[in-house]
Formats: sequence, structure tokens, C-alpha cells
Amino acid sequence: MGSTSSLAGFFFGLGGVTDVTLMPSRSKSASALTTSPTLAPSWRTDAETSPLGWRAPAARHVHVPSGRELVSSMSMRGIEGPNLANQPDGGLRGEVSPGGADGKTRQQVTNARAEVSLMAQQTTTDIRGAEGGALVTGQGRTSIADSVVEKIAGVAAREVSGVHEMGRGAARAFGTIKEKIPVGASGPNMTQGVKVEVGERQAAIDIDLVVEYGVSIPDVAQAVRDNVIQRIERMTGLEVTEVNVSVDDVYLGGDDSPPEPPRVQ
Amino acid sequence: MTPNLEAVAAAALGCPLIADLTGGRFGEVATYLPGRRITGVREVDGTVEVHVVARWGTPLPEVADVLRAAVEPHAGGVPVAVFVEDIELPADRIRAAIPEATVATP
Repeated sequence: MGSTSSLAGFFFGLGGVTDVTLMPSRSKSASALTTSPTLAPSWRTDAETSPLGWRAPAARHVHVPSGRELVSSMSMRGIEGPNLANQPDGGLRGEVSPGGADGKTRQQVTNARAEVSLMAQQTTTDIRGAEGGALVTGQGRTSIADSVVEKIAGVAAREVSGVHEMGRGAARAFGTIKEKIPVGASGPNMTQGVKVEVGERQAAIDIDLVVEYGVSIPDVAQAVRDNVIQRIERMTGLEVTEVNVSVDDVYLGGDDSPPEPPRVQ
Repeated sequence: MTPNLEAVAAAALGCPLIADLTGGRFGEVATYLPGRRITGVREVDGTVEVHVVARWGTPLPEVADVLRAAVEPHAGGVPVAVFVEDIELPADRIRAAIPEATVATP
């Protein structure tokens, strides 16, 4: 039974916790492109005072799960919005690193660099695109509700193969119960396991999910991150500053199969 | 020239990228008239607010641009603020099409 196991996972706080936002410190120094997430990027102070409105300072970065180190290191990426144009490579995005071999880390640094140059090439088109799709226009403002961003992120994360379910133990348990209640049958709640902070131009997203057994968790996390960023940036015009993926459980299969009929009637 | 909010609502609903007008999370966004209300449209501080549920698939800034263009002729020169309050997923549409009673229980 799914609900039973979810509940058990919740109450005992076990749930095979594999938090991808955690990694050994050595990989952090491996790349000049990465910074500690607890440090606000230097350009952000200018941005906060800008009249165009930015996300509030990120106090959210400081929640470090017990005894382990927060990774979600940042890699530089392209800029959107003309007010960033004077900043070299403005945006930030969460980056996952496998805690594994150094060779793998190096590979990732190379990828990150390739990504930066790719993003730099895209910058011009981004700025051009921003003129047509700006949220703050001379004729009036466009606001996008948090729940819209949550829904899009939820759908985008679920689209990635290897993602079994969304949400932490408690939410999953309640979600299972809610789905069984016929009144106003809402189906799966697309915002479960997604938390967002939305500013006027930027959004930051936290995702909790359960992966299927046998997948590469860093790869799935990165795929989720890429898909969420792409979807949100395309659909809302918001710049995604970071996507923190936390994997709360591994789905071993067979959990949701119907219980065996009782031997005694 | 004052905005014609009724025409604004009609123009918004006529926009194919918009699923519906919405009263916001608490349903209070509306213009209150004697005997009825116009849900999702109001004038606040010299701005016409239009609160909508968008359809899935089109970038929201584009939705807002199209909506604003559709609504502006009726806004009487007042700036139009678009609030995307929710997004209608394809599954929502399917569910809405099924009568409530048949949705029940797995």
C-alpha cells in the first residue's frame, strides 16, 4: 500500500533519503564557476535597488539539512532583461554534482563552461525576446500567480522519466488520501512537492520528488532542472534563478500493487 | 473616458488564449454592480485589473499581450494590468467536461 509506506517513511523520517543537493566540499572548489549558495551574488545588491523590482534577498539559501553540506552550487548562465545587459553573465542556476569520482566532476565543469558560452550566445536573442514578452510594459503590468508557476514546475518535473512521484512523505501520504476521497475529485495535485518564490521578473523553485529505483539520480535531477527551467522561462517569461531538487525517496516498485486477498474470509 | 468593464470582461472571455475570468484565490476580485457582479475585472487606482485563468501551451507574456490588445479598446485609455491567477491544464479541461457524478472514486 502506497499510503502505508509513505506514512511509515514520514513518521520514521527514513524514506531512503538521498538528497541531491548535498555533496562533498571538494567538488565545490573544482570549478571557478561555482559559488557557495549562501553568498549572494555581487550584482544582486545593485539589482535590488533597481526600480524594476527583484526578488528579495535569498534568506532561503541558508536552510541546510542536518549535518550535511548544501551544495546546490551555482553555475553562471545567460541573462535576460535589458537591465542586466551590463552584467557579465547574470543569471544563476542550481547545479548538481555527483558526489562521485573527480573525473566526473571535471566532466561536469567542462559541461558547465560549454553551457556558459552557449548561454552567452543566446543572450542577444533573449534580450530581443524580452522586448516582446516583457511582464512589465508601458501599458500595464502582468502578474503571474505563484500557483501558476508551481503548476508548470510540477507538470514539467513529472514529464521527466525516472520521476515516480512528487512531494515529501507527509504531502504524499495526505495526497494519497485526498485522491481517494470522491468529493470534488481533484485527481493528482500538480503543485504537490513544488515550492516557488516568484518576484516580478525572477522565480526560484524547490522540488521534492521520489525517483524510480535504478535511475541515475544526478542525471534525473539535472533533467528535471533543465525541463523545469525551460518550461517556466518559455511559458512565464520569468527568469529562473535556481531549481533545488531534493530526492526524498526511491520507489522500489510493487509498492502500489493491490494487497493480497486475505487468506481467511 | 471611463473604462467599460463589462465590455472588458466580454473581450477577455472572447480571447481564445483565456480559459476563464477568475475572482482570485478568495473570489473577491469583481466589479460589484446592483444585482450582479462582473467576476475577475475591476478598476483600482486608475488601473483596470483583469484576473484570468490561462490555457496551457502559450507563453504567458504572449497571452497577456494578446489579452491586453483585446481589452484595451474598452479600457478608455486606462492602463490594463493582467493577473494570471491560474493555468488550465489539459487534464483540467477533460475533468471539467465530465459530469461531476462520474468522476468519483477509483
